[in-house]
Amino acid sequence: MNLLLIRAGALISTILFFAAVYILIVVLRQKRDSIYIAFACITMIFTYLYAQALYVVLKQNNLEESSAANFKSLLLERYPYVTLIFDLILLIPYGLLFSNIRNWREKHITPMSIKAGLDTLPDGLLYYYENGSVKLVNHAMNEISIRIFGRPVTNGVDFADALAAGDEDLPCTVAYESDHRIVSFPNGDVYAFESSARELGGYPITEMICFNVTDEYHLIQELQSRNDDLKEQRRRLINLNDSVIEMTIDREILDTRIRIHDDLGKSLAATRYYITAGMGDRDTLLGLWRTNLRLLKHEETPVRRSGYSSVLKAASDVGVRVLISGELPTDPEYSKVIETALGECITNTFRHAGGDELNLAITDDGKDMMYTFSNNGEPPAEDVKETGGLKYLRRLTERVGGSMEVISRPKFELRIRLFKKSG
Amino acid sequence: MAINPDKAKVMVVEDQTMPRELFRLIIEQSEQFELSYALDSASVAHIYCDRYHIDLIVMDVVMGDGSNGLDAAERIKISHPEIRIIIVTSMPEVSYLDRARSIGVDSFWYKENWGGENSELLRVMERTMAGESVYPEDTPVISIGMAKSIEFTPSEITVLRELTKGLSNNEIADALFISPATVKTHISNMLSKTGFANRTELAIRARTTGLVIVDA
Repeated sequence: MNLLLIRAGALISTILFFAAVYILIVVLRQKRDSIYIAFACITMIFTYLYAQALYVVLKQNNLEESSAANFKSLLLERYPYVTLIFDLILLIPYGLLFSNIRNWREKHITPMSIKAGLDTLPDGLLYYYENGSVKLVNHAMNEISIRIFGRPVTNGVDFADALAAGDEDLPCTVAYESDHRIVSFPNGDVYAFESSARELGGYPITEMICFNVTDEYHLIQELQSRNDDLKEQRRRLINLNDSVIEMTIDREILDTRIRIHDDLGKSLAATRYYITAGMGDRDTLLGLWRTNLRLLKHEETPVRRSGYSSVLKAASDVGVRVLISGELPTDPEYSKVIETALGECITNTFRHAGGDELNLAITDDGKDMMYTFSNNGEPPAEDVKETGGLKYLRRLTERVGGSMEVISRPKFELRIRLFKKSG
Repeated sequence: MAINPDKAKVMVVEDQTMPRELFRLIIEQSEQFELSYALDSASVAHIYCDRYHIDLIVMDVVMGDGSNGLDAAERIKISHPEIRIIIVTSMPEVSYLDRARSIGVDSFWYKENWGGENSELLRVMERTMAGESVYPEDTPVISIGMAKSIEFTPSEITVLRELTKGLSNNEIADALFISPATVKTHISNMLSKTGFANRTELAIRARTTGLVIVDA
């Protein structure tokens, strides 16, 4: 029985020795502090020696040497349980070391923990070198690869090239939008692939990330559709704005016509009364008819005058002759600028320069049209300040993308440059 | 044209021929006024004011050529504050009254008040020349959906005006320096008041009734 106990002790010690070797290797791999390495070494060496001692006792059972006999007799005859007790005591430092190793693993990131963490990500992740060899690929990327190509990622370059090629036989469509490769599946799932160049240990490495953008993609499609609808509504409202003014003017004309026709009706009734009953004043009746006939003369819808005709008539009315060389613009925006400029220069001619002739020279320098206004009056006594009308004219000109220049010396000139619109 | 120095010189600015003729007739039948010029565009009104002596201008707001009587009035009041101006319009656009007051327009008249022989316009002209400022108490009340125009607050009208340009909530907010949430609240309130189904319907009705007019 005592021998059996010794044998058990030796076996346990042997196991503990190998455990000590394992612990030493782990702490070396974990690059732990030297104290842990030393502790592991001491434990390993001690366990080794202890096991060896037990094996010597077992082997030379019948030795009569004094030290061996004393040790043997101590163990076999007097304290056979000591080996087991000692083994149990040895378990304490082992237990501490194992616990320390486990705690360290839980609190520190290891390559395996990184891989384990990345595998839980919903987004695909792939790192590969220039030759295509894969440094890291997570579970999600492999799943996506299987879904697209029927196999996991084995070579990064091949994977990226196949994605870029967008083979027609693939169970999805591949598009390129805003630096992203967009993969759309028939069931509505959409993935976005994004690649970027990195460096690892001095070697170039490509990082490819794949996001599931199904919800965002469909939301964007819906928003784009709504925006298109809104743009169309906006276009209609802008058109409505133009037509409402026309409608309002037409309504005013109609209201006036109704009033005139009402007056005409009253005149007819009054005339009938005068003829049949002899009631009423003849002169008043004649006055009414003159008025009605005069209004009826203007009842036909007049042709609306162009803006130029109003300003040119104004020039004539105020005694300023306008001489134009070249063609006036017909574009509505440009017309407004030149009409306004004509108005300003007509006023300037008679009010400030004391002249009676305004010249407008229109030239084409290839890219732009130049409109130069000048008059036959006196030059300005000092530099012309842009206030009121000129200020408004400049704002109008620049709003349409043109430029304006006011020259005071040697004579007044207003130059407006408007770029030529295509079409 | 022989000028009677005793009569006030009137310039009519109205782009439509018939109303312009009506104005002309009213003025010619008056002993106090004399028609100097009848123009069809507000854009040239200032030229005549700079050249000739004008006492009173009767001017429409919306012209067919895109010119605006209020803009012309503002300019004339700066250079010729002594000229009295009566703005006439048939549009119930609520901002016209406020803008006319801020410019210093002397009187304001709505065209549907055409009278018979004793034209209300003539009375307004006489009172204006006498130094009075004649303004209607309110803009004409118009129905828009289930609501009346007077039920809208000034802020709602301001937002509605931008809405009729076809702007989005964010664009309206940027234009008016308010938050998009405030814009949304105003539009929502107007839809509740009018009973309209959506903002487009609201914008169309606001425009066609003349409640808000967007300048060109």
